Amino acid sequence: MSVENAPVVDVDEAAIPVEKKMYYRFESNDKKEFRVSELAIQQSETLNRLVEAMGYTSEDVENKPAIAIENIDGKTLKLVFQWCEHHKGEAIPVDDGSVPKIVEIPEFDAKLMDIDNGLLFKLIWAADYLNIVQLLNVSCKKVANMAQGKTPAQLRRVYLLPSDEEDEAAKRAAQEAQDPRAREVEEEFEERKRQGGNSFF
Amino acid sequence: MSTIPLLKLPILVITNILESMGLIDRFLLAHVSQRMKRIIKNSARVRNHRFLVFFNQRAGFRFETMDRKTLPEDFIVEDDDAADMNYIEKLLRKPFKLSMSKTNRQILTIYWDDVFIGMKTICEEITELFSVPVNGVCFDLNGVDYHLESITNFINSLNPRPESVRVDGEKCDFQQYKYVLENIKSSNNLACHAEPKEHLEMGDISLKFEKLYIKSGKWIKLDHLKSIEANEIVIDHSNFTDQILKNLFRNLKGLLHSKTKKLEIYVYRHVDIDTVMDDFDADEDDESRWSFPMDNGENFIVDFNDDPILRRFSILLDKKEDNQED
Repeated sequence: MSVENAPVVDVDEAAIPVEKKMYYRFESNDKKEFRVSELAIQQSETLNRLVEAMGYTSEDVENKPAIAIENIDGKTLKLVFQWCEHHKGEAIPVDDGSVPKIVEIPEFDAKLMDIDNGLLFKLIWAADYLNIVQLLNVSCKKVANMAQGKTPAQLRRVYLLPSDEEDEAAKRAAQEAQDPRAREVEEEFEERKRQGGNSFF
Repeated sequence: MSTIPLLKLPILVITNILESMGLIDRFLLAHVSQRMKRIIKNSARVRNHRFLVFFNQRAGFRFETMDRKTLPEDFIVEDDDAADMNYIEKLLRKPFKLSMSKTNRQILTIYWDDVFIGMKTICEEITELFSVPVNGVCFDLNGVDYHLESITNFINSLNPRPESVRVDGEKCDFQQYKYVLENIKSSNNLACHAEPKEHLEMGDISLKFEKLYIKSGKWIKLDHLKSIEANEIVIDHSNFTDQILKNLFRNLKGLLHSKTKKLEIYVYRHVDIDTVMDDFDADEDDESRWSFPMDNGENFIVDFNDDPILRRFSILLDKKEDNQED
């Protein structure tokens, strides 16, 4: 995608009339390109460190290829950068130690996260990968809120949690996959026991 | 129903989600499977909370945040006679109900054939799951009836000791009141707000706490003070006459336990300070403040304070060591 056609996320040009804003270009794993303001990038510790390390000038940004974010798709990245642009300049929250965490979901965030759970799942992964503390907090809060008023059986369905029996079966399957000989030895041992043998050896 | 695969998220994200949940939600989630129980126990913390046990008209547990920024959550244990047996799903093999209070607090009610056994079981579950000690216990003597001995044993068995135990009971039975004072041993602070309907002879009693508050102090005699081993003692509604107060000041060292640093006495009448302090080897710092230097370098400050609104008179004895005043 060309620079001209790249989606630009929520930019309020009138807000900074004098200084020319610095932008960076990012590309998702499905080759969608985004131009994101330097201030918005500061919400992501990962991206902020990356651009600082690269030391790009405005010319570099235009002339060099967009920075690839290889494990996030365009649809998810668009939400991430919309969130970052909306919250640019806000302080990164510091964990004050309260548990349960006191997290309010602002109206903008609630609308942004009014998406299907598949996309919400990807958004949480992206917020974690890009280390966007507050986006991670609000998206985790949204998932936590799904538990409210649910019984254990309902929680199992909401969070797709395996039962003890399913966990046990999965564990056995994983062990067998890892060491098929172990299963053979076990079967042989059981067979010898049935035949009345006192010792396996 | 909208779904999300929780366990496919990174563990730190799962922890964030769990720590954003209410404690009742976390408790219920822990009962989905052994694996979830392990994750909740090992990954998610509970901080800045007070975990309280109550035995009143209803018995249960309350989690409240220290800063009161979030609403408290209640776990209630009720007699299973009250349960709607149409509930198909069970928790700890018992019927349960989730509800919201009028103030939007989440309440989990679990129905047990024996409420006291239910309380013990849930208490063990909560302390194990959330790694939190019981911070406080409160109970009402009028609501616990025949469980009093079990409750007292339960309080004494808590390890670590709860910071405070509060006993309520308006017009309660004096024998039950006496039983509690004689038998609750393992608490840092005891606040006894119970008021017996009659005051009989208390006899010898040994009380050991960091702080002790007795609302109904009519039964306390000077001799009882010696056997109260507490840093701070507050005796409300005392029957001490001016003559008894005078005797107290005359023999402070002999009547107070050496551990006692502060004794506050409230009487609901006028105290004639001149009569009480007459003929005393004490320095009058001002109209209502006196100091008693002791042989061992300690110094007792006595403050008299008349509260015309509450129509009560307070006498505060404050022990200062090495003549150091605040």
